[in-house]
Amino acid sequence: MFVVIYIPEFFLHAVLRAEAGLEKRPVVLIDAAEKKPLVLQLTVAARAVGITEGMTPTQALARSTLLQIKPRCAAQEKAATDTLLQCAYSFSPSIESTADGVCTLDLAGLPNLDHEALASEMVQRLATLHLPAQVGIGRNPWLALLAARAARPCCVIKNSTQFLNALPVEAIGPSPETLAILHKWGIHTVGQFVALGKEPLSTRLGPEALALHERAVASSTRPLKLVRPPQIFEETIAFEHEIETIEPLLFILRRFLEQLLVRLEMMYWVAQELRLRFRFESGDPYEKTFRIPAPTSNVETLFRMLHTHLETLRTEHPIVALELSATPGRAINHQFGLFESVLRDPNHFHETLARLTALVGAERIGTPVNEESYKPDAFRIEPVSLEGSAGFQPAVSPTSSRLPLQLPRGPALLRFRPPTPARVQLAQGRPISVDSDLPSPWGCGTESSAHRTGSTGAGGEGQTGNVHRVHDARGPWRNSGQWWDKDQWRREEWDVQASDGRLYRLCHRPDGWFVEGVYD
Amino acid sequence: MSYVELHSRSAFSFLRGASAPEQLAEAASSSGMPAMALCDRDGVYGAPRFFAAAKENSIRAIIGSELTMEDSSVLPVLVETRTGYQNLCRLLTRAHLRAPKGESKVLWDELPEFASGLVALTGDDEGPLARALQRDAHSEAEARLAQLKNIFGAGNLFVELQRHRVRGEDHIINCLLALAATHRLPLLATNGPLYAKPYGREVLDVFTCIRNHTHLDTAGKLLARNSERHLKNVQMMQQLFADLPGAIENTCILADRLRFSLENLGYEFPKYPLPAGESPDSFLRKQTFLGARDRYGATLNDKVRAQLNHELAIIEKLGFAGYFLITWDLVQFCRENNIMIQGRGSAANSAVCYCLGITAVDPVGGELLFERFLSEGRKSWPDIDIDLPSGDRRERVIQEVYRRYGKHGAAMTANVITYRGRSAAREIGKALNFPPDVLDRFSHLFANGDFPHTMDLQLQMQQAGIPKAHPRSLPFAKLYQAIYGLPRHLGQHSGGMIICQGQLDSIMPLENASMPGRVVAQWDKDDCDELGIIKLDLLGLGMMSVMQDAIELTRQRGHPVDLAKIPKDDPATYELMQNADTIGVFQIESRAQMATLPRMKPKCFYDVVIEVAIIRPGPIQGDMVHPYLARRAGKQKVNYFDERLRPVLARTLGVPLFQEQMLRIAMVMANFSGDEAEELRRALSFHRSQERMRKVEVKLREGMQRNNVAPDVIDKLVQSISSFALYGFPESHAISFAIIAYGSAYMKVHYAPEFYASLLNNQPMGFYSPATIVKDAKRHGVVIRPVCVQRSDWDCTIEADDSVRLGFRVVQGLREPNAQTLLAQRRERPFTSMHDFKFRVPLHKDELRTLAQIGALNTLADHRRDALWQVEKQEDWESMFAARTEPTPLVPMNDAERLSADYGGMQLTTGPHPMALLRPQLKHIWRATDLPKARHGERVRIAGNVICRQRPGTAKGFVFISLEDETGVSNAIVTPQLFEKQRLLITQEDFLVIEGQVQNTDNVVVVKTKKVEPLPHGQLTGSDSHDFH
Repeated sequence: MFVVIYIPEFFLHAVLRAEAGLEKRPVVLIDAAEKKPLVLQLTVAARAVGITEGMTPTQALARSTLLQIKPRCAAQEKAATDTLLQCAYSFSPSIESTADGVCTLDLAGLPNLDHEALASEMVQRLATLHLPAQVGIGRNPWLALLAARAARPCCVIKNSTQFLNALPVEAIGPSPETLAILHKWGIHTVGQFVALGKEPLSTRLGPEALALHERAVASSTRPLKLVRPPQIFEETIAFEHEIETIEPLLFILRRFLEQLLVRLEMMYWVAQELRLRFRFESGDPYEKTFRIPAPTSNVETLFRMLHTHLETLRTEHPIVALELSATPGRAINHQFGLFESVLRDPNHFHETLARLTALVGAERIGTPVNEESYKPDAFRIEPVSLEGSAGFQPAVSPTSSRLPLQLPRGPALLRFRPPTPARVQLAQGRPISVDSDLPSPWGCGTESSAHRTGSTGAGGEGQTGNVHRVHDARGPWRNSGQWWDKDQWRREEWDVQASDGRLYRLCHRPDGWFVEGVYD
Repeated sequence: MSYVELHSRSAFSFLRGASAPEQLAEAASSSGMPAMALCDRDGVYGAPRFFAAAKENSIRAIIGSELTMEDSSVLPVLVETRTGYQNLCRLLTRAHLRAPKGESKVLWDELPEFASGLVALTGDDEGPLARALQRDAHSEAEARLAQLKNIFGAGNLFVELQRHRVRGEDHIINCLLALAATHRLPLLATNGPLYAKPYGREVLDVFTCIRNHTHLDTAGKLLARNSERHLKNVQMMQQLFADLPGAIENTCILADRLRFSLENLGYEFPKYPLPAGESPDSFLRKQTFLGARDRYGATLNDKVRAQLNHELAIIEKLGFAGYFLITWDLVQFCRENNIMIQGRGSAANSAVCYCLGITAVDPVGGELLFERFLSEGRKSWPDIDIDLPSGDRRERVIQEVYRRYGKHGAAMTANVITYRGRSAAREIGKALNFPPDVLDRFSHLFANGDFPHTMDLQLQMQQAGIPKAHPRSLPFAKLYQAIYGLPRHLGQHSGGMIICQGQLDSIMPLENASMPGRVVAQWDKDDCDELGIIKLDLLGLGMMSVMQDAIELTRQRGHPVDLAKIPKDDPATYELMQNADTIGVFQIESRAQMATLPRMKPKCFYDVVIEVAIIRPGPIQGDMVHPYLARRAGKQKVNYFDERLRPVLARTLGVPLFQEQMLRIAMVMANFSGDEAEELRRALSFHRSQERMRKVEVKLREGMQRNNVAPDVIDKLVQSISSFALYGFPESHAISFAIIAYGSAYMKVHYAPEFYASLLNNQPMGFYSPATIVKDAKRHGVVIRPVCVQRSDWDCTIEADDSVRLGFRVVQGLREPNAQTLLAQRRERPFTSMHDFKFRVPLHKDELRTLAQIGALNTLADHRRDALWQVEKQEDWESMFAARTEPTPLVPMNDAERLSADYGGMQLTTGPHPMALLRPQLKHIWRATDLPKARHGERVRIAGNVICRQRPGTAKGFVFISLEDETGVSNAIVTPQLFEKQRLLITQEDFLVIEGQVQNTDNVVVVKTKKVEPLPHGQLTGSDSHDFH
């Protein structure tokens, strides 16, 4: 005998299983990659309000304003497939991954079983993994599959002819083209199909008709293409709405953790390592690996680990996707190597880092990267990445279409950081004197502050500093940018030769004049 | 010492410049420049507008262009003489025609051939020298300079210097100075302005993002470094080049040399080949009076004769005879080739055009204003727009024009696509990195069709999800206003053609159009008009095709109809209009027209003219519809804004409805001369110039004040005139359209089979889908027979019993060549069996299946399912028993299955309407035909297939829904509040049940919707809805 476990609306349930209670609400699944996405699969609640497959999302929304539209997710479908196979393997070593959401088991060699009870147990176990299954049992894989499709939720075939004739013709799997022809003919059941006769059908529909006829009478069997369940334990979700607080995240993480541990247990494993991945709204990824010194399948222990980490985590952007995976291991103690220098408790390190982030702000922890901008010293902070070597990036202009202006080599500029505020006197728009508290050693050798009257600058009134006459000035060089938001900036640079013989770079910004540096 | 800017780019450099030519000219004038040069990238796109604006601002426009060279460097050239201009146009034409659309590459080797009459500059930072110097390739720069000197000559090459306050630029300038000294070349200072005022930098940054498909947050160093590339005044430039005064001085010296003006284009319109001894004027006179005999009879009355003489005298004085002859010649070509033709627009005001057969309106009888078409003061060519049947017949005429005048002698005029509401908002929004859904929402808030957009920008932004406090809200609003109206790209005008006696590519550069085999000019029709270039508008009209086909059918069926001779007082035709039974009728079939017809109750041809003109955004915006209808119904007293306007507005009951009336109002009330009225008309029709409109308005107000017109009347009149700015019809145009509207209504009444067959043969067109047209035909007693392989042709045809047989063209997926093979086989002998049919007509399986499912093979099978069973059979052509028919095991389709099969294969059905099948399940639902019997205010439920949803911008958010059932069409109106509440239900469902109160006024029955719900219709399908919301 053969058993088929069939998950109806598999792609939809692969997505729904990540979130509690969704299966009871009107939800439809679309393939967002399609140019014009249509409803592919839907929940019972969605069908109840008049939504059907093939509608456009807006047509579906017209039927129910409460409708949720979910896109297909390859990662979640893979996780669901892995779960299904791992569950099936816990019943029989001879399993086949027949199709998406369909797994066939060969019961040969297993002790005589109560088929109804077996089917119920399978349904129940998958239900704990949030996969609503239908189980069919028949004398060949094909019949078992048909039984599974017709099952509510279990079906064991006793009279195959009677069973087959009542089935809709779609059950024997005609190609869409053939199905369209059959519908045009008015053929809707397998019984009607068989009644047309094998030969008339084959002269019209070709070899496919023969195969369909064979399926319609379920006369032959086939060997299974046996597989072993993958050793991958992973659960993932892409959020419809960005997650900004910890509560919903913890809720889903707990659900994932429970599912992963059930799956591990079915395969007689425990968790040796957990890997948590986020994707932020900005598109940036985040990944955190939790090594578990004592591998375990205890939900509370593992959940606490995740919880502690998340409590200290501050992110710049909301989270749009989450993935949790477990590396399987045996529940045995293992000894660290004698010369092992890695952190024994990475969780501890990350906790420390997380606390630091909480203290100084996420924007101050990370790696500085040069910005592609004319604004001097423009940079941004990128998140800490312990994997790989994310260091300083070279200041290249990959987006610039024009050749960079090749400046002739001149003296090097020693920059004052921060720039020193200055009071600059102008005549005909050009600097004629500079008054500034320059840091040592440039601050000595000053003149009188006779030229201060009428000057403009950043310093307060009556400031006393080092006044220099300007012997020569070049400029202004003007730069401005980011005019479209609050970070807009504007600056005007001058190179001046001061009475102390030095060349200074002056900068005029909306907040005043500054000495930016001195040429070496 | 003065300064002239000799290297500027406008927004006609398409995303490489940020100001309109007018803005540049105005800025140059206010900067005190005596002249200025515009050098747009790879063309002279903006030259006509720059030329006109320069004239207006009393500066001299110098023409030039930036040439993209084969190595991607950019070489600016300036035009010195007409030869130079012609060379530039030919060079650009050559560079454009060999490159893909929108690109141009000039080869260094071909430059010498076209250098005469041009002066070259060495360019800005994209110029050949600067590019080499930026790479420190001094020898390459030197070699290029030597080459340029060789090509243009030492006196015609200037080393260009620009300073934009960028650190390091003096290094390049020093290198250029050294090169200039070495080669003894003069220096020339320019600022290379890309925008008129410093703010333009922000627009340019946005354009840079659009050009590079990026947004401001990631564009980085693609963006401008500062705002220095605006048009600087003389003092600023003198200060900037204080160390090089010669470079400033040279700008004036060179500008003085560049004396070419667009006034001297040297354009000549083609000469009509005259018979010996004839002048254009004498020949035109002869042809006009010959035609007059046909139009008015052998003896002309004095009025006609006087009008013709008056018109011919003006035509002669203006030297336009050749133009009329050429148009007449084209009309002759159409007549000889059996292509229906009708002039529209202001040409219909001319008795000469009427006599030449160009128009079908008798302007003498209709007392139309000839001056609207042509006046002595008119400088530009008159407009003769010609309507042709759309499709192949129009294309034949266009190809004939190309054949007559050659590829370089004729071109389609350009259509400069400008940034309008949606496009401006979308692209600015993208550049500002707004999410796509916000931009979608913003776009959806625009009015549709040609209705004006009335929503305030700030409100629209807020509704789209950009609150006032959003940090990018202000830049968005500022940019939107700055970019609105700037050119976006060059398209092809739908029908405007320009022709030339000589080489058109010497007059303006030509480019490839998207359509193979066509070339397009760089100027749009207004620009051509301004510069005196002859233009013919050959416009395609679907209804002309219908009329021509229908008339042809009447001829074939032995009762030919001459459209010109149909009675204009046919009671049955007016009854059809009064009953708003106008599905398929030209111009008066829309929902709004149908709602007006029973109130308007047209009784004579002029009523149709008014009906055509009145349901337009102009009159609707100007609140003129209601007063007119009320006065017509005697519910409101006829009065005039001012008694002086009585003669002007008498026939429209004191309500101005036509453009001519607007002009007359200006003439009567503000003492506008014919020329000034013409200027007013042009300002009204110029979409691009608010400024121009404002200036005319000031003049209008001043004129009326001088004439002691009351201030409130002035306001009302100005408001009336402004609302016509974009959307008013000239009376003559309305008459031309009314002829077709009346003709199509007449055909519908008296030659229904011919009318419906032709209408179906010219789909898609009009407001309604073929399914609705078929149902309408059935309601008018025309039997529509299904497609049949034994009877159908490619087109829908009329059978002996006056029924219309659907043609193969309605069958989805049936290719025309295959259908023609079928017809050829059938002509040899009829098909005797399915086996015979399949053997002789090698159709694709899908085509066979579709034919079987729609019942087209029923003559070869017992029923549709039998046909479907037989078409699937693999035939053994060699077996002698193969033709033997076996009984089908399949049962025939029921009504619902046939209906689905019909919609699946033809998107229409000749069988029962889906609502007829649903009717038994529907309780207490009123049928469309019963609705007029409902009492005003009664609460009713109606249901049907949604065939039309409209949400016109003028309706303040109200939505109109048309539901079709088996008896006709019922209409419902939905309030904005209900629409917003149930927007998706209303816009997405194919079948609806609507409950509401009946509004029955003046025989216009509408249900005011209170409740909407979907009508479950199972597998039944209906026709597609034509939506405008």
